[in-house]
Amino acid sequence: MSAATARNDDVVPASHAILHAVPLGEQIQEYFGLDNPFNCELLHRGMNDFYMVRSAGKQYAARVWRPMSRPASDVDYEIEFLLHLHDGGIPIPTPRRGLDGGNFMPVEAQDGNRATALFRWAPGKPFSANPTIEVSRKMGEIFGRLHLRSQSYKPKQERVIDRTRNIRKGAPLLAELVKHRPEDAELYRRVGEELLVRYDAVRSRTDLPMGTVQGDFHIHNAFVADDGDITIMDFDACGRDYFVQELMSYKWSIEKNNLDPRLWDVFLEGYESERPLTPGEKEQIPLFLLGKEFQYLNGFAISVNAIGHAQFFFPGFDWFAKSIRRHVADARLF
Amino acid sequence: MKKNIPIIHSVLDAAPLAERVEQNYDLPGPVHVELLTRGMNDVYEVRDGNDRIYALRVWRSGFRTEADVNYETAFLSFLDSEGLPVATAIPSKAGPLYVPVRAIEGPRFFSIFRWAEGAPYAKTPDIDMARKLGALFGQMHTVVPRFRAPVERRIATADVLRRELPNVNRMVQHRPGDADFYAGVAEKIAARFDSLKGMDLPRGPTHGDFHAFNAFVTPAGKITLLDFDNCGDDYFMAELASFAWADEYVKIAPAVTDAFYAGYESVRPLTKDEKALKAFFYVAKEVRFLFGFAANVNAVGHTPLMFPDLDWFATSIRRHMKEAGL
Repeated sequence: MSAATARNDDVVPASHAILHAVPLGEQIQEYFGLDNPFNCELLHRGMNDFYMVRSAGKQYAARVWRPMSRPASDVDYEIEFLLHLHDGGIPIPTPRRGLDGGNFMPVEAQDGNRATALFRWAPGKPFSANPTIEVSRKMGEIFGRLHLRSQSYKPKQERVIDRTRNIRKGAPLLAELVKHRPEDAELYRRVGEELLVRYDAVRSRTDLPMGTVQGDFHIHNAFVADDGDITIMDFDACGRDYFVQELMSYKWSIEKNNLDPRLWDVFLEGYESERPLTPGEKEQIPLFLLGKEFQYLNGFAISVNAIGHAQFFFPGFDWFAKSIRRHVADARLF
Repeated sequence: MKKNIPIIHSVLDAAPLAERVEQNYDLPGPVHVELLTRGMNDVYEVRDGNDRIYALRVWRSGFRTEADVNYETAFLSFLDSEGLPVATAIPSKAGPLYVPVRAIEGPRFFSIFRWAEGAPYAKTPDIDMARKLGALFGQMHTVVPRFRAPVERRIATADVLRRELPNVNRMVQHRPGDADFYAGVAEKIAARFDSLKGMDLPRGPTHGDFHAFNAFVTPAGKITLLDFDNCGDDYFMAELASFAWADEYVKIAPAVTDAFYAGYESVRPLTKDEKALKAFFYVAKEVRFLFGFAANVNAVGHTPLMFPDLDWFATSIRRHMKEAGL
C-alpha cells in the first residue's frame, strides 16, 4: 500500500454531521412522551439541524444543536427565556419539556454529545417570502413588547452576548478567508480593532438599556401564517445585549437583501409604539449597525466550513467590501 | 444519556480536505478549500496557490457507487471533447478523475471540476437563452451515441419507483389515502414504462436532472451545463421532461419551456411516439422527484429540494396523471 493510499484511508473529520432521523425520532418520542402515529423527518440543516416531528395528528419542530456549539447552561437559558416570553403572550415557538421535566434531551453521537429540544410547530412561511409593510410594523410592536417582557426574566445563569469575543475569535479566520484580497484584509483588521475600542467605550453608558434579546433577528426568522399570526423564531443566539443592537440585526437584513427601506421605518415605528428609544440609543444606530454587519462577517468566517456559503445567503466579498466601507463612514469609525 | 445515534451524513472539514487535495492533485500550493453548499452532495470552492479557482464535489456516502462516479466524470470528458460546454473533472495525480476518501459514515469520493463562471440561468430565465439551452441538449443527444462508457449506468425509472415506495409510505403515513394513491401511481407509471418496448423512443446517455439552476450563464452569454450527478442512459424525452417540469415547479414562465423544446427540435426533431408520450414523461418526472425526495430527505432535509408540501404534490400529481391518461 502506497503512502498516498494510506492517507486516503484515514477518516476525514467532519465539520458537521447529521443524525439519522429514525433512531433520533425513537428517542424523541420516548423522552417527550409522544404518541403514535409518529414520524421524524429532517427538515433543515442550518447552524443547527431541524427535524419535523409528527405525533398523533400534531406537529412539532425538533432542534438538534451541533456538538459543543452551546453549553447546557445556554440551552437552559434559551428554553426558559422562551417559556417566560410565552407566559407574557409573546408569539414564539413554545418549547415542550421532557417527561422528566428537562428542558432538552441529551443525545450521544459519533462526533460528540448534543442537545435536542422540541418546539411547537410554527405555521406559515418565512416573512422573507412576502415582506409586507403591515407585517413589518407588527413585528416591531412584538419586539417592543418582547424587550419589555425580557426585563422581568431572571435566569439561573447569565448569558451575555459578547461581541468583542466574536471579533477576536473571527479575526484570524477572516484574515485567512480574504488573504487573496489584501485591501479588504487590512480594512477588516482596522475595523475589528476600532470596534473593540468603541464597544468598550459604550459599556459605561447608562442610557443604553439592556436585557435578554433574541440575538439574531432577520427577515427569515419570523413565520407568518395564512391568518396573519406571526411567530418569532430561532432564539439560538439569545442572551443579554443592548436592545438597540437587536434592532440593527433586522435593519441590516433588510439592507443585505436589498428590500424596501420602509420596512425598517415601520418596524421602528411599531417598536417605539411599545418602547420608545432613548436619545442615546438613537445616537448609537450607525455604530451598532456596523457592529452587526461585522459580527455577521466574523460569524461567517468562523462557521463557513460547517454551514457553507449558500446557507449563509452570503452575498460575496465584493458586496461586503463596499457595504462595510459605507457603514464605517456612516459611523465615523475612522 | 441514550444509546449512540448513527450519523447519516457528514460535512468533511475543509482543512483536512485541502490536505487530501494537495496530496492527490498536481495543483500549486498552498491550496485553500471552503465549503460552498450542502445539497444532495457537498460542494467546495478550491483556490490554488496561483489563485485559480475550481469546484470540488464530495459525493454522499452510499449515494453513488464508484462506477457511477467513473461514468459521470468520463461522460463530462466526452462531452467536452465534443465541444459541449461542461465543467470537466481534472485528473488526479494517479490518473483517475476522482479520489476515494473515508468519512465517519462510510466511503465517499470527490472530484475537482473546472470553475463555471456566471450565475444560474434560473436567476434571469429569458426566452432566447432557453432556446440556446434546448439546442445544446439537441446537440448533446445527437453526439452521445459515440460515448463509450467505461461502465454501464442505466436509469430504470420503473425499478426506482418500486424500490422507493416504502420511503413515500413513511412520509405520508399521517395523510389518510395518500399511501394507496402513491402505490397506485407508482404501479401505473412503472407498468407504462414496462410497455414502452418497441416504440420509437430514442435513448442514450443523458444529463439526468437538467433544470434552470443547472446551467450557469455569464453576462456575455457563455453557458456551462452543470451537475451531471444523475446522469445515465435514459429516454431523451425524460431529459426534456425534467427541464419542463422543473420550470413549472419553480414557477418559470411556460414560454421558457416552449422555447427550450423549440431550440431542441431545431437540432433533433422529436419522433411521433416521443410527442405522443410528452405528458407521460412529464408526470413520470414529477413522481420520480417526489419519490427521490422521500428516499433522501433524512440526509439533506427539505430545504435543498425547495419542497413545497405534500398537499401541493397530491394536487399536482393527480392533475398530471389525468393529463397523461393514467
